[in-house]
Amino acid sequence: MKSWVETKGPHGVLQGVLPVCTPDGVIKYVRFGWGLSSPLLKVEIEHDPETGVSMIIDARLKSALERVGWATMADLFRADEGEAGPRWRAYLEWLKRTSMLGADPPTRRPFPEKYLPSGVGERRNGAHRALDDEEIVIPESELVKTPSKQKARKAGLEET
Amino acid sequence: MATQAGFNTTSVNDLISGVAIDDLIMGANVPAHVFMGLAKIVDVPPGSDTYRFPRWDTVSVSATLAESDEAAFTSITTSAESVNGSVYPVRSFLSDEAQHDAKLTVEMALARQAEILMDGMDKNFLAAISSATNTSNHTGVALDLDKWEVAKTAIIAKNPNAGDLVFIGTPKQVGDIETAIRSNGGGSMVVGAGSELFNSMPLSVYRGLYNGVHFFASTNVPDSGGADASAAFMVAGAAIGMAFWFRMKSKGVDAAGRAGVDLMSYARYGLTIVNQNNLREVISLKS
Repeated sequence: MKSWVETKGPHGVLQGVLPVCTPDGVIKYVRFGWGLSSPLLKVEIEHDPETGVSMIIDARLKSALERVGWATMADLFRADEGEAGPRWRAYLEWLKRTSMLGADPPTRRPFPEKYLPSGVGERRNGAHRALDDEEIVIPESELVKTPSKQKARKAGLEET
Repeated sequence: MATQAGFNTTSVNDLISGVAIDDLIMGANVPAHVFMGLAKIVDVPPGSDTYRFPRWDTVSVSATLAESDEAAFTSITTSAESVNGSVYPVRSFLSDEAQHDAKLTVEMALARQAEILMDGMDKNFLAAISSATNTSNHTGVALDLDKWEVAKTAIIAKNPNAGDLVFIGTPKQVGDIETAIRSNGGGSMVVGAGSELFNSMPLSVYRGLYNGVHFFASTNVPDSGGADASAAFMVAGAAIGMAFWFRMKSKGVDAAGRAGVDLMSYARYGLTIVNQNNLREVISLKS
């Protein structure tokens, strides 16, 4: 299944909108086209020289980004419900109703959080953070307690 | 008293011309273009269909050299983003009838086509913000000074290249900052630090300076989701590159078999983010 949706950019030129999720769980809508190059994506576009028609053959995130936790929304939906599941189809319908794809009037509603794929929540909970952010803990048994001089003086163990 | 026969608009209606039309055609309702001042604009020399924007990578050298020892070699590397050009055309047929009856000239028609082309360049330029890797996410909420300053600090922490730091957002996103200025400190910022932005011309795309950052408001800022838009901090001339294979060409052809001229204006260009550290996307409510 395609991970992007197609729309018309300025002057009716073919453009794609590819929803992605960052390692922090932010959902972004990356625009791309033949003259609008996204440094996040590897894109293959074909031009038919006879008809002048352009076609987006493929658009995917660069592998270096995927290794650090970026993912397309299509991949996250696919991981939860397989190819073209009901939530992904609903997500495509919602995209078509937004101003990003030229809907008039457009919807202002966000896509319902409860239908987002689990991968988004995992990223928002820090599952794909690059930094090791674990708290530093020293076992109590290893902590050496320094005796209190005040207590020692009270007990007569130390001279004042 | 009854009307009198004589000269009236009915009896001499043949002498009355049609609707009087203002010679000055008002402009279309589009935002003023920002790409000319904010993009890194280059002209591609002949011989290539791809243009590359290179940059130096950050290199740290901290080793010292012991006496009589030999220095180690340091690798100096570059990164780059490449872009292909696409031809963006605006084509229209100007009929002889329209030239005569509407007093439209070929020059007027080509000038209008050029304006439309530049509107498209502006939209495409700002659409590139959606490819930013540095993002401040405030989906579903309005901007305020705290959120704005955290985002500003975040881009500065990336050591962006020297240049004017710009914030561009929708009128609502810029308006949210103005609202925050108005309500902060009992309104003292309206005449203090925030006075230039708060008192700027509301119909101008350039809105003034606040906290060392130039503010622009444009409805061409790309949407993000249902109710949000992708505003951005960027270093002017160093964040998004526009490579032009040719900037603007126009041609008119007398169309055989038709009474008129086939007009086309077109430009060939490509866009990409040239340095992610010079750009930070800020997602918040757009209107």
